[in-house]
Amino acid sequence: MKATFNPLLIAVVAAAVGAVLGIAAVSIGTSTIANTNTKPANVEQPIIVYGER
Amino acid sequence: MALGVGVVLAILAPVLGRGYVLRYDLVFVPDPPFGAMVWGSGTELPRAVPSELLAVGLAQLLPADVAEKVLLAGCLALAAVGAARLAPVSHPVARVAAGLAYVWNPWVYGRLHLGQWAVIAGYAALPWAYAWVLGVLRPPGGGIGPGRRWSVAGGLAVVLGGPALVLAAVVSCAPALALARRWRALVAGAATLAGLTAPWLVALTNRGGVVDLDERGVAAFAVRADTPLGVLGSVATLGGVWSRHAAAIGRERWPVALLALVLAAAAVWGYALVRRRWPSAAWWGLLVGAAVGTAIAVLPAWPVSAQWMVTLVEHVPLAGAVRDGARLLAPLALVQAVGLGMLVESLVAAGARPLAPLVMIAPVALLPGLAWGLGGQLDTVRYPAEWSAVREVVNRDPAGGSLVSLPWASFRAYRWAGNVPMLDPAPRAFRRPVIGDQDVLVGRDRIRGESRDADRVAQALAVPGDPVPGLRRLGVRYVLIQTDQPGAAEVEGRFAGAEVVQRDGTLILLRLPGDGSTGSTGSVGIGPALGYSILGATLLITLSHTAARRRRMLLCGHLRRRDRQ
Repeated sequence: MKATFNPLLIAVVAAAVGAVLGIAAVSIGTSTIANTNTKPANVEQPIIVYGER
Repeated sequence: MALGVGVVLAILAPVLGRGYVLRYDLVFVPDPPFGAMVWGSGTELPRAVPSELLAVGLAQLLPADVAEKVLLAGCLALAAVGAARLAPVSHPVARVAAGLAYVWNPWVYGRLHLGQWAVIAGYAALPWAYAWVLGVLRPPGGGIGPGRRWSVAGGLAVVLGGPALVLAAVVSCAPALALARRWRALVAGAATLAGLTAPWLVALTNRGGVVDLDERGVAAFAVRADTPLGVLGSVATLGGVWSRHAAAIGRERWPVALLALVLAAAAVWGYALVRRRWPSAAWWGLLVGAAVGTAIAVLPAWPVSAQWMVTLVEHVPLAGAVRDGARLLAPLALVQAVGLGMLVESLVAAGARPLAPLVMIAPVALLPGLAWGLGGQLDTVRYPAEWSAVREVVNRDPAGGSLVSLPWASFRAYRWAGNVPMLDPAPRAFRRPVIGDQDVLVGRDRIRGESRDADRVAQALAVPGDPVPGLRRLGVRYVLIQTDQPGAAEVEGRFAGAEVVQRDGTLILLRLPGDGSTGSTGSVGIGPALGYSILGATLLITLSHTAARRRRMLLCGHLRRRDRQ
């Protein structure tokens, strides 16, 4: 099968890959979160919360 | 089918026995009545419409705990099978990869953790709705995918997911139809969605077109970073749910987060390959839908764009649909699922067969916490006997008047249910309207509810002294005090003028003096009746039209074959 050059497809794929790499680069550089709290909500507290951010 | 069964067993196996799964928004009660909540006839927004009608209707045929499991399992199976059939692939491993990717991801984990079965139902309907779009865009019998009748039937379930999932369906389906200039199909789809959402539209009209949503909810329910990749990275890997407790375990680790990002990128690459097999408008349409949905989801994460969303929520009715914006990531999940299926198919075609099963299983390997009932977090429990006794007394009383559930809080945590926060079950247990706190607490922030009745009762309770006269004026007949909840002790002593009807275990049922001739009896109002009538008519017309169309097509095919003979 003859390979065809589709500039539109190349552009879309390049944009997607670029976006992912960009996200990774920016995130790695700036992220300061340390989300280690994976325990269930502490429901023994007097007020029952829907969730915590 | 095997994929659906497998997914259900892998996720729900520990809770498939008898008993109720109760957590956050997932609340089922034994023998639920067709009460005010089902019809959305209260003054709060009809959030449980029409999903609660399906739940209660099914609970008339099956024990309610079995009905709950049937719905949960049905949602997961429908999602997996829908995505597997939508992907334009033929290799079984590729199909499984697409179905598995659509179900086994942080989005589903978060919604299951929060007990939002109806949202998962809407999510499950999305691939079927898009299969209908594909059916419109290509000639009959062309390509791989579910039949149009199945697509329509499955796609209609999107309305169970509430306004957010309907919006997700619109942003997914509308661009493809518009790009292909299929205006008739676009109008038909819009009319169908308008009919299906009639109960909300009528409720909105009843409120004068005003929905007084608390703008603080925009920030409280905005997407958040649940990985070290920041908000964008979390969202790109289908996470970002607003509650830290609903974030999938393990995603906070760098290796897991990076591998999830690589998998997401690979899935997007796979979606690029789908372009050869789908009509151009369908390919671009879903991509545009995913982009729009993702943009709506991430906007509230930053101060400037969050302010735009606040303005939108304040001024546009039903714009509150975008408040928990992570729900709008459903189209992105569909893109990634279809893409992963295509990637696996390409690997098989390219001779890299050993890699195909690895890619297929990657979503499971990155999110093992979804298996076995969210890693053992889901459990079944039974209601204490006092709930049945109280329900019987209240539901047997023909006198009108509402019931107030105290202590004044929207969420409960029962020792017998593992102390997991859950919505107060009282509104689902009684036929008459139940008035309780509608505010929710997100951390320290109180997000105000929208019920005017609840506001009035809260004001009556806030007045020092005996609240009975004030509550009687508001048409309240019963007060239910749940003594095992925080703040119950202060409430108990305040109702000196009320008759104790039942004091059993952790429940105290009080009847307020008066003949009960005032107040609502829980009958369906004209508004909800009208809304549901339109919804029912829409379902009938859509399904019968699809069946008639199928009959016509079969007949035409038969005649054509006869002509050729």
